[in-house]
Amino acid sequence: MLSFLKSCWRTSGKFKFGVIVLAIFVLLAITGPLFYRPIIGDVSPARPGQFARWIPPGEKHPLGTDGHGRDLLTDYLAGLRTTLFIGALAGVVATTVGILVGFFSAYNGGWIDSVLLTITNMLIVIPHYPILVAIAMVTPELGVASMALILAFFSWAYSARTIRAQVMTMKQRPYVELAKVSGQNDVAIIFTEILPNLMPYLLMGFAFSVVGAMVAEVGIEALGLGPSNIITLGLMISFANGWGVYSMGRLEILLIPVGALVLIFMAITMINRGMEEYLNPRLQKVTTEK
Amino acid sequence: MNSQAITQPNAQMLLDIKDLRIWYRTTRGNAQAVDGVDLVINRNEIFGLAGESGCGKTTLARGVLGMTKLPGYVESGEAIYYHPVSDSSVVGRDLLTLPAREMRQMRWRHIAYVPQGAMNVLSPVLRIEKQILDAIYEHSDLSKEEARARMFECMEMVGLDRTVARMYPHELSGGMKQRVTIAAAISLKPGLIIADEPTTALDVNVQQVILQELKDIAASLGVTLIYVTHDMAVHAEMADRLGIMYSGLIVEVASVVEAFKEPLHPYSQGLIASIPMIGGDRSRMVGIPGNAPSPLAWPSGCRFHPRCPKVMEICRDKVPPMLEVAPGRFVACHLYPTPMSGAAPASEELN
Amino acid sequence: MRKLLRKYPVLGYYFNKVFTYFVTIFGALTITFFMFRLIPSNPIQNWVMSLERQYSVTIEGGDAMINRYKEQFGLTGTLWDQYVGYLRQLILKGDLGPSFIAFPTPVQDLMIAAIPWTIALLSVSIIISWSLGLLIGSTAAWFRDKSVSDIITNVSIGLSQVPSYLIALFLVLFLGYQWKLLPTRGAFDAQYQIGWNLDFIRSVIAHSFLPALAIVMVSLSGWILSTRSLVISNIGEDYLIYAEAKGLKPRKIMIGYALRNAMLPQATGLALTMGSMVSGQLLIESMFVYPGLGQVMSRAIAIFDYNTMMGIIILSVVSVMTASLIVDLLLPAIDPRIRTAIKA
Repeated sequence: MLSFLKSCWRTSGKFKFGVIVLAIFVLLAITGPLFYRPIIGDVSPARPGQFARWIPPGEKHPLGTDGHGRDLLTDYLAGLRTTLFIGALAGVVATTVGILVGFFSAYNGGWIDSVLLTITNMLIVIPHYPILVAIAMVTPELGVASMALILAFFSWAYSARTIRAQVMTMKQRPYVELAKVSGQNDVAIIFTEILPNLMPYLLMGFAFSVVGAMVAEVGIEALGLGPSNIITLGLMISFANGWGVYSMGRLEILLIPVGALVLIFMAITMINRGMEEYLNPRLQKVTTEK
Repeated sequence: MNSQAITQPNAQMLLDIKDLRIWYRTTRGNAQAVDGVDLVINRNEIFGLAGESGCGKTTLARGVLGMTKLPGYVESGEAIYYHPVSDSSVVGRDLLTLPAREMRQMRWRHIAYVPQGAMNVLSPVLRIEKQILDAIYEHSDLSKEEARARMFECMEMVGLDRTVARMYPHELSGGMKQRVTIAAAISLKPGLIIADEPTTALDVNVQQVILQELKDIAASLGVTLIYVTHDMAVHAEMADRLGIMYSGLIVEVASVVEAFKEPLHPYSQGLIASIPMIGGDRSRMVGIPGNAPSPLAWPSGCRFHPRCPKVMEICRDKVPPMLEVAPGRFVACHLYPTPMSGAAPASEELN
Repeated sequence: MRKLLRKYPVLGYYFNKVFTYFVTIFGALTITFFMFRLIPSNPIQNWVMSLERQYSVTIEGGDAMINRYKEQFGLTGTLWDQYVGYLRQLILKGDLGPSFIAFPTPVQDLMIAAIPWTIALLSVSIIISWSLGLLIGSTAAWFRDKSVSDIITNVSIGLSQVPSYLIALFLVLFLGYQWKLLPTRGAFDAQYQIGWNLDFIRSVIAHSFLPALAIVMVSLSGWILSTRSLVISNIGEDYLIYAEAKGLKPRKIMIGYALRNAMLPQATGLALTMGSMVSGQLLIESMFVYPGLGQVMSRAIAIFDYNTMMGIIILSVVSVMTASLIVDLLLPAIDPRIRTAIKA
């Protein structure tokens, strides 16, 4: 898998761009406390009324404070942390469940496969967003982890369906047939023959789930329908709209979280596309001329 | 180049390829797939083009059709096609410098193509009739009825039932699809048909029948056929003359009888020796040692020298020129520096 | 039966599809129903309390009243009773129950009033972005060696996963507030009379412009990319080389062969997207305060209006499934290859 990523890095400009941009944001998220702890001290970044409202940008507050008396830089860094964390956690859970269900379904085939596929399809056709919002509304004290789990509950079905399809085609590959004929047991075949070859697709599915979870999360938060006890970039968008930053002439308060999210979504999409093009060169230009 | 200015050297000549080079740009340098081919195709003959896979046969065939695709490009050379414009005058035009529009109009009208049709050459979502008729409409002024009549006529010639016209490709067998491509190719009565490994994917019985049909059609329509395949047994059956290609070059041209009876170039000898002949001497069946060289870096001197059983000192440095060693017999090999005396009786005998 | 199946194997295929259709809809309905009932919430209590707050009165006998409403809303008895009752009402009478947000208007009436707005906005946006995507995508594929094609492709890739509400935010800020070019709220100006008069129609078009643009901008990139890769994967195909050898005009090869072969998946995609119209852009509608289903939905969510939420979700599931059923049933008629595959 490492060599796969290395080849993607070497051959795809898109992949490289995405990895660099994403790495910068992840780094900012990880090192965030180093920047905001000196400003806010040892309290929760979400606590309102820590400072006076609307202090203009200055030495103590590089970006000023917001309408709830919080440091804006802290808002963004803490928001980035939770947004990325929720996305990553939801992605991991959804992909894991998706792998288990997808493999189980495709490898067994028959009626098990039909039943699982039908259930998967049911979950896919139910519009997620109203249910997510409804859950978020009635549980205002939603934690970061439970938010991620709820998002994952709705997105595992997509990964399960794509992984199932991949395993189905892989089952018919000659090397898997060979392993079967030579009497290897199923678990060994899954781990030695199918999983390694599926790795790039799992990575792509993971990135897809992360984007999906983040899009849903930001969508709920940005319209002010999500929990307001944890700061996310989506919540910052909602706050900015509520504060009327436009009429205040502080447009950047809205543009920073929106811009950051757009860049993150683009970066992950570019990474995914880079991998996809490496696996299927036909998506790229057909000629090798450079 | 003004196409009118080219005068035909002799009335039999249909296609005159001179020093044709078609290269591919790759990240590791130029792949010289076709690299200095000289070849003359005569009117009303079946010319067989033989050689291992990767020797440049298909590149050459597509190049003559003006369908060299990037990263491939024509490095140099000419391919002059002579076609009569009236009873008395013949026009020669270089297919390689013809503007794209004129080249497009040349295709099918004058030079048709029969690909390996058992695979995916027919669009899966269009009916057979549409795929034959669109070429007829494109290149002729025939009315709808006339075009359809022409189509049925051609389908009949290759033994296809009329009902096939309304079918989709997936409903046809490999042999039927191949017949469709032949019917399409003859629909405008072109002067030249280039057939690139058309029957390779078919089973032997079907292949036999189709080859015979193709041969009969070529004779009855008076069409010239360039038949490209690696299969020497097919050449033995089909061709009037044979050109043997190796590493982007033609190394030997001879009538098919001479080529099989007494191949001159050591590579030709190897090729012919490797054909399993029914009732032939089994011990004679030998392959050619070594692998085909890479088009990225052809060997110096004679390109066959690293594999040649009769290699000499001169072969390593000096490129052997193509010489006419006997009437109509061309070979590029240092073993035959001058017109032969030893091989002459063979050709006389044949004459 | 078996004899009939042997004679018309396609019947088995149809039967299978229709069966799956009903099972999936029924399953999705059931999952949603129980999910909503299991979420801890007491909408009626909240509702009565908010009424009390609103009118600064204490409603006498509040508990008795709550019970009466519970009955009306089908919230009495065990969960199973509620479920059976809901199904009976829905299937026998086509009744989705009363709504909270506009009590006592039945949910279906609310939805019928909102649907035309959603359909008008979404279907126009979808068709515009689909046709543009087909055009730009196939051109980008055909001229894949030109740098313009690269730029289009890369921009599309970048935009393809950006949610439309973020794009909408930009549009609102710049086109709406900054330059004041277009209205950003509602579906028409209240000053005009509703009906077929020019002012009203102009107002409707102006109001739908920004939401439509936001939807088109994002979904367009998806259509561009899928068309491009479908056409490019065709370009390597033997039948295109053969079409070129036949000396057909390049435009004819592109339209008659390359695009023709890409059309089927794209037409299928269009049908499926049309099916997801109801739920596809709920957020955009509530952002632009557009009086469609999304708007109804967000009002319903705000006070946890079970019946309305269920109603819209069911409609959405049914329309998605119906679109895919239509595609499945029509495919054998359109694609000769599938017909043969079913027979085998």
